Amino acid sequence: MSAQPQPEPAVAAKPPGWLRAIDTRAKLVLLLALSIAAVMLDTAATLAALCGVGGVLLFAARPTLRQSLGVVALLAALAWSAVLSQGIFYARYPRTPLLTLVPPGDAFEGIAIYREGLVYGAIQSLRMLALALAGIAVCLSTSPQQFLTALVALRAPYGLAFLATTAIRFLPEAARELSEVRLAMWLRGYRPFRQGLLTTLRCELGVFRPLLARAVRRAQAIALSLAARGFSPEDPPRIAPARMGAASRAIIATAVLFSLALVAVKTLFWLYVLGVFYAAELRPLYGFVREWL
Amino acid sequence: MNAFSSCAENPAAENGRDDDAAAFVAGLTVYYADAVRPALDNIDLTVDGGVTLIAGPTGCGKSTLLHAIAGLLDSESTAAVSGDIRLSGESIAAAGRGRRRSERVGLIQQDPAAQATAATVEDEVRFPLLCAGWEADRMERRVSETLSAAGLLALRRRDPQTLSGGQAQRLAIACALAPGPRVLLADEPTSQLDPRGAAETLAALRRAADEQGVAVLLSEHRVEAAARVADRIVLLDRGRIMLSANAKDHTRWAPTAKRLGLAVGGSAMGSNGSAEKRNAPVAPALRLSAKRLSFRYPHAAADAVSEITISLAGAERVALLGANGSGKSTLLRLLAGVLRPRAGRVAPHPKDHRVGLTLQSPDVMLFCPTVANELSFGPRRARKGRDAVAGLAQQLLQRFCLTEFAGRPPLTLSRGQRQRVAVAATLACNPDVLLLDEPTTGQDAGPLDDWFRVVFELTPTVVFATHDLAFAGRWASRWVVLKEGRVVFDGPADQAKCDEDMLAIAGLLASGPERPHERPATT
Repeated sequence: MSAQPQPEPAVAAKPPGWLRAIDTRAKLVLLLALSIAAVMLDTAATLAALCGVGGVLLFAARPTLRQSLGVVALLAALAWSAVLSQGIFYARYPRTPLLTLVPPGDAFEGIAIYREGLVYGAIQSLRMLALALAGIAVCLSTSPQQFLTALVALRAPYGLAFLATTAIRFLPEAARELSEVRLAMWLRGYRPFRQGLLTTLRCELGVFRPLLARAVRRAQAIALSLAARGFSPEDPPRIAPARMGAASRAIIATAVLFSLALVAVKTLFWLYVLGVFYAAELRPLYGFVREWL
Repeated sequence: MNAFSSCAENPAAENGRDDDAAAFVAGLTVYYADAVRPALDNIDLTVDGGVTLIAGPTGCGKSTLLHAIAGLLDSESTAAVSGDIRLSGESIAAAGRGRRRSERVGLIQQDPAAQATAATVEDEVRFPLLCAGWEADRMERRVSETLSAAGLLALRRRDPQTLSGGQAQRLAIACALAPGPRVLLADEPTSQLDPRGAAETLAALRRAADEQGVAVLLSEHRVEAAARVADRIVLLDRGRIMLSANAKDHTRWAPTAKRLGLAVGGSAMGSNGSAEKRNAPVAPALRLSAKRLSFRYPHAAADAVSEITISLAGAERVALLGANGSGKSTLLRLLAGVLRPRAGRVAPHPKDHRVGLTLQSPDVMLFCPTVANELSFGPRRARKGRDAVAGLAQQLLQRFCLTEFAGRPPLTLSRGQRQRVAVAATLACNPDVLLLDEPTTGQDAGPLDDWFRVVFELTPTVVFATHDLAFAGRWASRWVVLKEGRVVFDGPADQAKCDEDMLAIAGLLASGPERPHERPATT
């Protein structure tokens, strides 16, 4: 059978936006480039700019108000916990205590919140935020079918790609079932911690029984449905993705060039710092990397 | 050679070339591992067009027969299969395997939502063609043709999970028909649908047989409704064919169907004045009342229920009826205090008395390791003594015929048994009012009536939401009919049954089976 061009399906019942119109492969390459940048960059200013890019992508994905609030709450909690834990457990020197929580003793350094730790935590949080924002934006603007088509086009094994995208598709259903099981327990008188920790743990673990049983039944139904429709993981359908538009091509080219350039200049800088390679003509570049990257 | 293929209506049989028929089954026997008797025992069946209804009680082998014809039993490693199955003369060993399977036989299942894997309706229809290796141009033409024939063209960009039950099952039928199979197998496709969705589905199957010449094998619980669109009926029991008859010859097959515990005979809405539905002497005390209840789900454009006023007197059996999405489940949850109304109130407040609610899916209510644990979970939370809990559990096990399953994990039981355990576990909490959300789904009438009799003995006030008008007619003295979140009728069941206009407006009278060739409107 010859490869057949397949139009990328549109995401149903959602408002259009430029991020939704971008080819999924371009979005995945863009995500990879942002990941490389998040690892390579070290200064707070550039990482903040990277977060800005993530924020723009999220805005372009046009999340609902509820989704936006959820993302903000989740990321704020993660960022705050990362900054605070680094502030408390920062172990390098020099460090400047801002607030002493437990005073030091004879054999104990005490516990304090350190300024350098907070800065370090903030930088790590910026890395995480940039990636999380971009990742959420890609997820919100891409249907499971688009992911499948893109992963297959990127030479991922069809069986695994199909498995992953189908699992993603049924995650909301599993979440709904979890709340139904908890409701059923509540209706029959269960209240956490009312009858001791052991009973609570036993009941909480019981939640997974129906979830597992439903997942197995659903998997059987899907497997039967797929088999009846002629799907075979050993001989999967050949999907040729739609022809990529100019904008998507430009995004891929820019992302690849940006990543290569970033890796190249950072490598040259590290070679200089380690004393392996130095070229006087590159002094402006060393200065730029030290100052900005 | 067998009752069915020898029938005069079967031209293939007349010509003595059964094995060239759309579907030919001879001597089919299926054993599941650890089973004491075969799931199918020496089945002979030939189908070469029209709609054939396969009916029988739960566990009679309907699904196994359809899966065997679809060539899907080889994937169920626990099944030992013997006999001959041919599709258009080709052995199932060749025809039922691989990517071109869907061009020979299509299968649709009970739950339309569980069958859909794609993000849009058109992708769902495209998928089997893609698997079969159709060329792009031909495939796109076929997708459009199939969606048009199914009345789904206007919904081609919709997410299948957002379709109504009837639309989703029509989509499943369209997916199965897209590659152009000669045989379509439908495994209880209406069991989770309201009457209108069921009618849409049955009409779509009839059209497939009439307009595309597909031989449809339909297994169903709703025998009466399905028999109206069927040409032949085959009754199965314990893996054997008990009877094969013309579906229009009601007097021939109905007695056997009734003997097998299937709901046949009488009115489609239950017999008038049935003793079953009579209430116990009505207690004067008001048990529960709701005034001007309104509720809207987050981000919904309209109220799920709006300004509903309802009061339950003691010892009342109330059927809550309405099409899918009419607000039945929401109203039950409001009465149980699970949802907080946007306006209005329930009195007395659900916190001040015991309300038992059984959810639509029994599976989500079963979280204990054994059936006995399940029945003692509620009493234990109420801090009853060990002996009292054990005694209550034992009593419920006996009353609901669950004693033999006491040590079994509840999730390994059949759907009907799981439903029974869920209701018994709710009753173990000794509720003042019992609310049941769709307790009849996918169950035979006989066993259902048996355990409902126990429910009504144990709890005087019961409100149950259902699509099954016959069941409501047998058991409820009062019907509350909902349409788009509002009460359109609240009164005696006998009065409701006479008001066909009201029932039709509420989407409870299925016009499909009576007019099977009517094409559903494009939404």
